[in-house]
Amino acid sequence: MKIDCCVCHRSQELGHCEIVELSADEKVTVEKMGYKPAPDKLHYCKPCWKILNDRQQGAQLIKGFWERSLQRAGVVNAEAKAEKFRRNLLDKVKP
Amino acid sequence: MPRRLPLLADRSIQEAHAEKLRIAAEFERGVLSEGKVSCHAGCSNCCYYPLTISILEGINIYQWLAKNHLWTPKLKASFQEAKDKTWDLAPEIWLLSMIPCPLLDEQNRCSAYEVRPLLCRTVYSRGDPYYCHPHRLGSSLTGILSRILEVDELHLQEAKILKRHRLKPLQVSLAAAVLLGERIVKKEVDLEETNSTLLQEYVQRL
Repeated sequence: MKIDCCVCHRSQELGHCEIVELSADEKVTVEKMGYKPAPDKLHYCKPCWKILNDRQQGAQLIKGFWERSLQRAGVVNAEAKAEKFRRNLLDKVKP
Repeated sequence: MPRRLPLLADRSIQEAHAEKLRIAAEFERGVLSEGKVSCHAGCSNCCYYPLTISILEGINIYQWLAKNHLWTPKLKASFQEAKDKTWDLAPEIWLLSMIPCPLLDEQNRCSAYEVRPLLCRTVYSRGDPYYCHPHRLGSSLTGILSRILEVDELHLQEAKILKRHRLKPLQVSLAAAVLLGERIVKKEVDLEETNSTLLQEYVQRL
């Protein structure tokens, strides 16, 4: 059975995926972000999983997604806001 | 002293390198004759872009690094790290993750500038370098010039050269190509076994 990676959207064999089951709190957070209904599980392909587990690169990837989304939404200072978000992420995940 | 490749393989590497220099020089002449570019030393925005090269370029870069005593354990470790991070990674995710090219040094310069790949030689922007940043790339303000024809031409020439070695052209990350290049030069792997070696590695990583 094949399933799409939730980050890069490439189709992967289910057996080659990393699977994260969302807790009730996490589901609420995901729904607040606009993803309704929140899925029970998130599937990640191994290359994306590896990047997200790397403190620096994972934070850069999330910052990149944020910056692009903010730019598309026409938010001023998208870069500064995305950078602030990245720093907050790094503060939360100490090395 | 760096080891020597078999004569035919060595000739193929030199031929591919000469083709790369010729194509890049022609492209550069054209670009510079048509106006100023905004690229400058120390700007390394394009050193975070996804980059794949052929084994011919990989061997050439490895040989140059070894010849110039730059292939240190530290550099090799950063190649290994870059290879692991970028293995089978979707290009868009690679771009946004800001994974630096392992050849990028602490002064934001290329440590193998003389033998850098064609894709690096032909990146020219006429726009504001701010918009070349991986997180801003693709906006209408990014002024990077198209070099599809030049890249296609090199790929065609490389395909002809690789055919002599019974190899189909394959593009892999710079880190993977250089690390495999080292194994080929050290005669741990034959050039002719390049694709099967990469395939084996791919299967092992699944």
